[in-house]
Amino acid sequence: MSMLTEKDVDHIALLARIELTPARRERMRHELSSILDYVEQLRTVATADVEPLYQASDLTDRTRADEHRGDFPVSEELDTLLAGQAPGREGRYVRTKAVLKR
Amino acid sequence: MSMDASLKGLTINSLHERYVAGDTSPHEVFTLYQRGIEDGNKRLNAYRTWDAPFRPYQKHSSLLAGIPYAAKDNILVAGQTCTAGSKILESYVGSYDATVIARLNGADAQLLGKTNMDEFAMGSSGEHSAYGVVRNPHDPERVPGGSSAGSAAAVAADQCVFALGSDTGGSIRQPAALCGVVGLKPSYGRVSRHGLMALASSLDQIGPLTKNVHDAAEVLNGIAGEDRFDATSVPTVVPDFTAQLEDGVKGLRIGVPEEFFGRGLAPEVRVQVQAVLDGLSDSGADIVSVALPHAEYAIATYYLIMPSEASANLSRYDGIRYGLSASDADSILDLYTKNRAKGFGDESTRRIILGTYALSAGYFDAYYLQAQKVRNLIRRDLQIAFERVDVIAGPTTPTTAFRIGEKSDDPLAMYLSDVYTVLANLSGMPAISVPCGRGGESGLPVGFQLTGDMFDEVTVLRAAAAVERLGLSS
Repeated sequence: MSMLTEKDVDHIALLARIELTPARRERMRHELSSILDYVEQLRTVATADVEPLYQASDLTDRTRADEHRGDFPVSEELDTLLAGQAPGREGRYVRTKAVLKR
Repeated sequence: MSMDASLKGLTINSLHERYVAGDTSPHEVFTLYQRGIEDGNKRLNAYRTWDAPFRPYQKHSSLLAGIPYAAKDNILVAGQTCTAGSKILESYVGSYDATVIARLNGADAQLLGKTNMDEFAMGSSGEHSAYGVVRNPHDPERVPGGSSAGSAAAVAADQCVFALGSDTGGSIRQPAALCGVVGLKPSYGRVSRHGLMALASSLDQIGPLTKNVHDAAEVLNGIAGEDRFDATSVPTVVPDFTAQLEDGVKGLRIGVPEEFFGRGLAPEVRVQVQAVLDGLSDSGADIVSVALPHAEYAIATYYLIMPSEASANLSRYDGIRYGLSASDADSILDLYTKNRAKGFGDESTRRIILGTYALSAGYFDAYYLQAQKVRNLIRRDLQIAFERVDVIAGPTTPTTAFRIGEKSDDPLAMYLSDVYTVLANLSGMPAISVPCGRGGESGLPVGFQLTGDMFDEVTVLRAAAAVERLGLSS
């Protein structure tokens, strides 16, 4: 079985934006390696002339009239339901850590 | 268990008849169910919440009027908590009704509450909820299946008349099979997903879990059809799904793939499935052998595509706009990684990381793209088969309900329990699980699966009704 390294797992975890404790990282490393080993079998399938099937409904590029439908009228109530659920708030705004360093 | 005896086995038709005859009222029945859940939940943990308000209505204008139902906790209801079985959404409140809820409201169906589930619908056992394990009503030491674990357990334990679930790789049909109820995954695009928390967008479908095939057809009548809020809902004609339930299987061509009867299939499941096939043959169906040469790659294909899409969909849970948030973060990146580490359970973390890996630079072609190509071959196999047969039949699951904890340390073993169900999701085709008696060894329910061609739920339901009439259901 080909094993992922700790560095591999750290890199993917960072891309996935999930902090892993050393114990969880080690468990993930083993479990992911065994799953990747299993899916390896797909490489044996000949697919040179096969198109990928990204979804099965055959609908593509659906558009609608460019008009305001008014389905969700802006109101104080909707504000409260939506922005009101943010853990960090300031008035009607959502507050979080700075993205850019000062 | 102190369930009111008058609720036992209630179906849409039988309850509707009692309403029409004036034997009972929707409010009385609603109250009895609320009490039954209150008691039963200590044992099964099928519900997350059961405080939906009673909605009075004028007259029984539809079969679904006053019929108490439950919705999986990844389907939004305005003003009600919606956790998807995750700690990251512990205090999240739905800000609008999902289209399926709005349509059932329109038919005056009565919501009871939200059912427990594997976190974000990832899991085949009901053991992966942040709110505790769901138990199988037939044996509380065993799993109900997943991820619509609470929906299946609630229907089987008469804690509702019917329930809504979502099915990404078998999450309606597999728990339905393990709990001895009917579970239907409609065709991809048949039912609006507006208000369903997305797991894998090319695979997810909402569908009913019910006590019989008629009810599955009736609920589908209530929820199917194009929706302007969901661009993946298909503008195709919605037939009356109950229309052919009595037509029987005389002359119906039923395909049986050899691939479904290989190693891994428990003998007690094989025996029940064979008994159904014999019964259908006696009823005049044509049993035809079909080949699905790429079916053996279905699990590998599914467990690349599903985590890839899940890793993208679940990136929205960052604890900024809603949900659980860490207080000790010192940068925005630190906040994301801490919120998500605190909020996601093991199975969600595993799949997000697996999907992120499959989509990352250098691996995309080998994993994700290759899986989407094999997916096309899998669908082609099914399309070729449907040139010769009307439905494809086999077991829903390789075994009956396993013990709680039996597979929780081995994710891959857990994934293999989806071996027969993922084909319908990968191809988009409709499929149903219908109970077919109990395993001779375990004494637990066995599910029989029927898959149909795209948008041919009518034939799937017709064949399923015939299976039900064989009288093997427990």
